[in-house]
Amino acid sequence: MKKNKVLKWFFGVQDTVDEYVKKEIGRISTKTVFILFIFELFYVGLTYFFANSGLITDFESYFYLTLFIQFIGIVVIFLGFLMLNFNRKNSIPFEVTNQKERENIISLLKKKYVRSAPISFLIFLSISTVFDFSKNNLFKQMFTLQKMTGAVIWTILFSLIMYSFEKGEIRIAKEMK
Amino acid sequence: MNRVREYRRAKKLSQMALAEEIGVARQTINLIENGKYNPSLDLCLKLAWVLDTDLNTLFWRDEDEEE
Repeated sequence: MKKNKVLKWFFGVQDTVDEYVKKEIGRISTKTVFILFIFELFYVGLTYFFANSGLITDFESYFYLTLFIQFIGIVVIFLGFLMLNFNRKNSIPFEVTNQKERENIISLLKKKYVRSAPISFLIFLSISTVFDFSKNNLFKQMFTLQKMTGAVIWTILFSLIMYSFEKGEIRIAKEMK
Repeated sequence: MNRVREYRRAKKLSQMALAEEIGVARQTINLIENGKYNPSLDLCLKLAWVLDTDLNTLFWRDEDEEE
């Protein structure tokens, strides 16, 4: 089913998305959405308060900075809360029941970060440009040869390191009787 | 409370084989056997069918649990 494929991709479930997994995903996702809502509520409030306090003079930099902090905040809450909860409670099976799918999934796991290299590239490119405070146009600066070469090098290094790491993380368990 | 483990062993099935048979993860079978997860009626029926028994034999409710 398409819905299950999306859940598998988004939450990194390797095995069957059965009723237990769906229930756990629903329970923990609800908590995460609630925490994200609280974060957004306070963050927008604080951003508005500082913008009107007279302390801010450079509104363009303030806009980029608040957007960047918001992005990082959402990622940290999502990964920190959702994924740690899944891992701690062992809610999601990180093992494969179906014998036929094993080889295929082992290969997919190894190449997980290699397949997501374009996303890594975009993240590195955006972060390196956002932290460049040379007052030039953001998009002009983003697509310079220097920035793009730097992002390509970081992506290659990151993908290689993560490939070696993921390769070492795969365990072949013996079947329990 | 349930007798899933007992019936699974009697049928000489591993958790993995039973999970594959009814289309769930092995972890779910383990949780059901240890009483940590209450499966849906549909899953209970599948378990009963694969283990060649009926629902009343496989699952029951302890009086202590009701309190």
